[in-house]
Amino acid sequence: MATPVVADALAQFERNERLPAGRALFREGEEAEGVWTVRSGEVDLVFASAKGVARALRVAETGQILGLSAVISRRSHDCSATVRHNAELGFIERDRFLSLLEQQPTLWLTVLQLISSDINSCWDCLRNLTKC
Amino acid sequence: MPSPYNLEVEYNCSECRVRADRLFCNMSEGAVSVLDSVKFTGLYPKGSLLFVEGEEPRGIFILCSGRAKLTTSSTEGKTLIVKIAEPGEVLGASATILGKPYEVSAETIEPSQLNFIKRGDFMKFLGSHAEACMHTAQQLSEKYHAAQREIRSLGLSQTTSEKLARLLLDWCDRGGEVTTKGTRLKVLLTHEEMAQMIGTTRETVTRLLSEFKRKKIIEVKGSSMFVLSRPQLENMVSV
Repeated sequence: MATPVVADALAQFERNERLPAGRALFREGEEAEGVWTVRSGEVDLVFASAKGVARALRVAETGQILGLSAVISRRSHDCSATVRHNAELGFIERDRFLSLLEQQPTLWLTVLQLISSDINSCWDCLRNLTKC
Repeated sequence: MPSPYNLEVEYNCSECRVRADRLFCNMSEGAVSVLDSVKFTGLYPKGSLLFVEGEEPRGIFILCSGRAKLTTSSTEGKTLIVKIAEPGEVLGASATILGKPYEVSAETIEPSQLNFIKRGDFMKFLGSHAEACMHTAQQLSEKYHAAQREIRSLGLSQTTSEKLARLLLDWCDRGGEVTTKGTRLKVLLTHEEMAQMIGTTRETVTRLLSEFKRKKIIEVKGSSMFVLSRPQLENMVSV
């Protein structure tokens, strides 16, 4: 999970939203419109098979940023994100986010830390999946 | 003079012929010359341990040629291969950037050339070159997507044969050579390593591959595996 210090670096640029349980932030295959920071609550990351069966395999918690790597690598989302419990989130639109990085190159280090934390969360998830 | 391990060695990044094709290395001349001044080139035989899970981060390794497996251990001590790294990939970057212990271990599975950059030098390089940050972010993003793909594959499979079928289908999609006989895969992993990729035992992989051969789904010739019937593999994937 991203440290509060890291997540706070982007806070001043975000639009805050309170969203109810069940609300989708983005869906698998969609183009990334921006990045979401989980300020409180939990977000399910749902993976679907080619045959359409979906399962929530990861949970994003407070401090995690969603959609970051999709924005950076200009890929579509590789999973869907749905609010599990009522959540407070911050959102920065893609173009705003990318222009911020151009204007303030020091933010890049924050981005690197955030993606690194996301990768660590994935390794944790894989370790847990092999327990089953 | 022949080079060690028959590798085509490139000591100078500025003169590297494949640099433009590599996500991380494709930087401006200025940035690459700085990279050249801080990197240490090393040639490693198969089976070299580059770093170990839990070890304090010493720096990053750029995989110039060869391949390496990234592994992690469950709390029960089970080894899982989370990724096979290909040329052009940067290893150990997330731990180095976060200043936290390596989350995975890295070991070469072929003779490899790697360029090592000490943590302090790498962080200084990132701090002074925004383009290096961007290239590192893209590289990390690719790693993140690969990890998500692995989660999908392991998390959505219900049986071990399904996991193995998914693994073979994944290999077909990424690097399989279509021939008249079927899709040809160059398999450099042992059954033990294949087992570690899908979280099972070596015995189970050997048994399942024999079953696949008996059903004429695959054929093995030396280090080549031919997928003769892709539809049968697809049918095994239940969800």
